[in-house]
Formats: sequence, structure tokens, C-alpha cells
Amino acid sequence: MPEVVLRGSIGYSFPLYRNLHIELRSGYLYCVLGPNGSGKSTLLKTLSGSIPVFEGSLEKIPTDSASSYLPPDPPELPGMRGGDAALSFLATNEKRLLYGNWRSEQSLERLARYIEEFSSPVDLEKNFNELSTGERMKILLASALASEADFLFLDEPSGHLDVRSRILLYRILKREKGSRLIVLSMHELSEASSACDKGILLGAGNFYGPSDIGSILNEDLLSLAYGARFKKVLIDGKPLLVPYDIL
Amino acid sequence: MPSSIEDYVEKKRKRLKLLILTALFSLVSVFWLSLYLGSSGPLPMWRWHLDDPIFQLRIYRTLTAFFSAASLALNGLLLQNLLANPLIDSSILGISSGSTLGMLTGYIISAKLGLYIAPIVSLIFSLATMMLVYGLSKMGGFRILVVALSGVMVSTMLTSISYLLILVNPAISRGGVALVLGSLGYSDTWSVYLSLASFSVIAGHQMLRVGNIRKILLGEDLARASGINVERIRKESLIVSSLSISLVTLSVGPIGFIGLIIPHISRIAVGGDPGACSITSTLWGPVLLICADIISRVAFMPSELPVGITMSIIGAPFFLFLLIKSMRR
Repeated sequence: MPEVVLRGSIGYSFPLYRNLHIELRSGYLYCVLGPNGSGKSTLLKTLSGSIPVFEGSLEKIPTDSASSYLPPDPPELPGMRGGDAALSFLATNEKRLLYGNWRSEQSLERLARYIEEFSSPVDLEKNFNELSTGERMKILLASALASEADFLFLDEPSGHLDVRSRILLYRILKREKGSRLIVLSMHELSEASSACDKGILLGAGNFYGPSDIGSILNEDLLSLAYGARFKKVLIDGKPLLVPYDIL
Repeated sequence: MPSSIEDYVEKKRKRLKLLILTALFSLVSVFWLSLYLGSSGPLPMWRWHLDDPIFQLRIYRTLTAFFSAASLALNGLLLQNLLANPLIDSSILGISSGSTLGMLTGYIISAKLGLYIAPIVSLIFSLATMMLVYGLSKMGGFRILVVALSGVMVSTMLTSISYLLILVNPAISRGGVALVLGSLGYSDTWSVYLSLASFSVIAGHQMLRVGNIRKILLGEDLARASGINVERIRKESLIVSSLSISLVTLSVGPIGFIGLIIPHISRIAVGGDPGACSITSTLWGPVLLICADIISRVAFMPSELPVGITMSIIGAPFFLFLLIKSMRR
């Protein structure tokens, strides 16, 4: 059961949040919420090992398992086709020069399934850079899901996706959460409420969680973190949050 | 109906096989042509043995062209992948000009000291230029046009200093101006060894690091998350590339644009994977350079052009084409 424990402070050049003790384990779908610049990406990158813990330690169980961090915007890959972008993702740091037998046929099958389920009808023969941002994101998400990484840190994966793709994404993530640890950051509070099990809320210098998504999505906490008022509406027992001042 | 990823892989495999076969066939053809044709006229095949001085020269020349072009193409591919910039190669970044200046400076110091240290000086200059260009690129936020333009300026400056050195010391090297332009006309056994060494260094690096480079290309954060020490790989690659470029420059001078054109065509043809591109680059680089060299030798028979000029005439418009393409985006 993939599990990650972070103790200490996080941040790039100065500690953004201190004395943290976070334990995340598979079985739950985690989301990180908070306003722009509150440190959502910093937290995800620290958890993924992409940037070091500012002060403290990061433990992963199993220790030898791979992490995948997907940035909010898909990279520029001049001259690369969509299909190759998907395949490059699957190739862990192997030295093989060529595709084909570098990964088991099994992982290629997995990739095919995820592309079919989630990314179609994206044209894989097309240049990656000529695809729309959403389409590029869908290709990378499909290969991140098909990869053998036990830890998936997805930074605003739904940012560029249409509604149907988001529904598909959450459905896949809910299915996958039992076998791997998945943490995503997002801005859509209502989607967080209906899709995720646990949440972390950053904002105004405070770090809440991880705790049940219901208790994180509390009007007072949210208005403190975001500096905006919210109205809670219950639909099928799940709270949806509407920004009050738009109404 | 868009094809599935399995179809894509199958198609890609077939395409690559076909591309490698045609490349090998073209390579054998141009190799043969390069031995047959030359500034002293066609060489009938009954004279094709190593005792024949003309055949000997042409064999050295063609082998030098093969290894140096393969090396230049691989270096271009590595630099482009590492800096995520399709507009650069060793000549555009000025690394080749730096090595050339180092080589000429090395000749002058060697003559004064009576000790042959040109290769070391060339390597130092090559590394220094790499550091300078990398520093400038970092300051420019690795923006594609900023990196390319700062490289072109560094290159222009260093080339001018090289010309100045030759004007002041006409006896500096047997090649003189031709060596600053890049030429295969002075190929001998040493040129073959040097270019072979250059090719081996960069090809070995490519074999060992292709997996890491593939990941870095997808994004630094992603690469780091999957356990790659991006800074170390980048530093190591830039040092290896400087070494390889300085070796190839000692062999043939600063021949430009192979490292720009070949990786670009490779990416279009095979889909952009660094591994597959390195194979096609190794084969197509030599085809292009040997063709350009044949043209350089027969166009103005019995005198010949330095192949660097021919390559610039082919390469500069190609660079402009890429520049316009990248500005439109």
C-alpha cells in the first residue's frame, strides 16, 4: 500500500509552511486546495521528490517505487508527435535507444486502454505542439495513469479539461486510488467535494489537513483561506460550494 | 478514426526500419561517389587500393567526413534536447567557433613553447564558450530566440578573433582560412582518429543517458520526481558535448548546420524520440556532409571549396526557415 510521510518545512528558498507532519496513504483520493501562490505546487513537488524538503524528511513506502509529477501546463515538445510524447512518459529511465521491447507489451496495452478511455479522439500522429492544451494534457494524463508509478502527483490536472473529460478523469482516479497514492491540486471546490475523499487547504499562511473533505470545505475555513464568501448547497448529501459574491 | 497507440508503435517501427535501410543505402552510395569523384577528376576503380595516393586521400577524407558528421549531428541533437530549443547546434551556439579559436591559440602557444598543446587549449576554449552561452541562456530564461541569438553573436565574435589571429600569423596552420571555415581538404590519419574519438564520446554518452534525456525533455519537474538528478545530467552532457565538439573541430574545423538540419529532419521523420533520432542522425549526418563535400570538390574543379561554405549556403536558409516558423507560433 503506497504511503508517504512528510515531516518538516516546505518551500523553495524560504520555508513556506513549518512543522508539518503529513501522512498520506492510498485508498483515499487527496486534493490540495488554496488560492494562487499559496504553495499548492510547492507541496506537490516536495511530496513527489521533485524539490527537496526544505527542512525535514520525506519517507515513501515502498521506497523503490516511482513517483510521477505532472505540471499544470503540458510541456513544449517541438517536433514530437503525440504518440511519442505518450510513449516517452511510459519509458522509465531505461537506457534503451528504441521503443518496442523496452517495456512489456502489458504497459503498452494499459496505455492503449487509457488513451481509448480518456484521451480519444486525440490524433496521435499529429505534432504534440499542434494539439490543443487540453488534448496535450489528456495524452500526458493517460500515460501518467498507464505508467507503473505508485505515486501520482497531478498539479491542476483538470485545469484545461472540458466537463466530460473531468468526469472521466475523476472516475478513473477513484478507481485507481486503491492501488496507488494520488494527490491532485485543484481550484474547483465543488468538484473536490464530489470527487475527493480527503483535502488539504492552504491559504493566508495556514495549513489545514489532511482531513475529510467535508470538514475542509467549511465556509469559515474557506473564506479565511480564499478571502471570499461561500454558500454551501447540498445536492445528494454532498456539499457544493458557490462563491457568494457572484450571486 | 484516429489510430490507437498500438497501431502508432507498429507504424513507427516499420517507418524506422525503412528509414534506416534507405539511409544505409544512401550512405553506401555517397561513400562510393566520394571515393570515385574529386577535384582531380574521377578515379577509376582499378586504382582503388591503399597504395594509390589519391585513393588514400579520398579514403581519409570520406572517413573523416563520416565520423565528424555523425558526431556533429549527435551533438546538435543533444544540445537541442537538453536546452529544449530546436534552433541551435554547436555552430549556432558558438561552441565550434570557440574550439577553433582555442585551436589556433593553441598552435601559436605550441609554436612558442615547442610543446604541442593545441588540443588542450581547444578543449578549454570549448568549455569556456559552453559556459558563457549557457550563462547567457540562463539569463534569458532559456527563451528559444534569445538562446539562438546570443549564440550567433558569440560565434560571430569568436570567428572574427580567429580571422584576426590568422591575419597576424599567416603561418599559423596549414589550413589557414579554410580551417576557420571548416574543411575536409586536409584530412589525414589524424583527422580520422580525432573525428572517430569525437563520435565515440558523444555516441557513448547518448547510449548511456538516452533514458534520462527522454525524461528531461518531458519536463524538469517530472524528471526530478522520477529520481533523475537533472542538474548533474545537464552539466555532464554539456561537458561531454564540449569535449566532443573540440575533438571534431581539431579534425575538420567548425562545420556548421549539420547539427541543426539533421536532428530536425529526424524528428519529423521518426516522431521525436531522442533514441530513434540519434540513430537516424548518425546515418543521415554523414550522407549530408559527404554530399556537400562532393559538391565542394567538383563544383569548381580543379580547385575546391571548403565544405564549411557549402554547408552554410545550404544551412543558413534552413535556419531562417526554422526561425520564421518559430516566430509564427
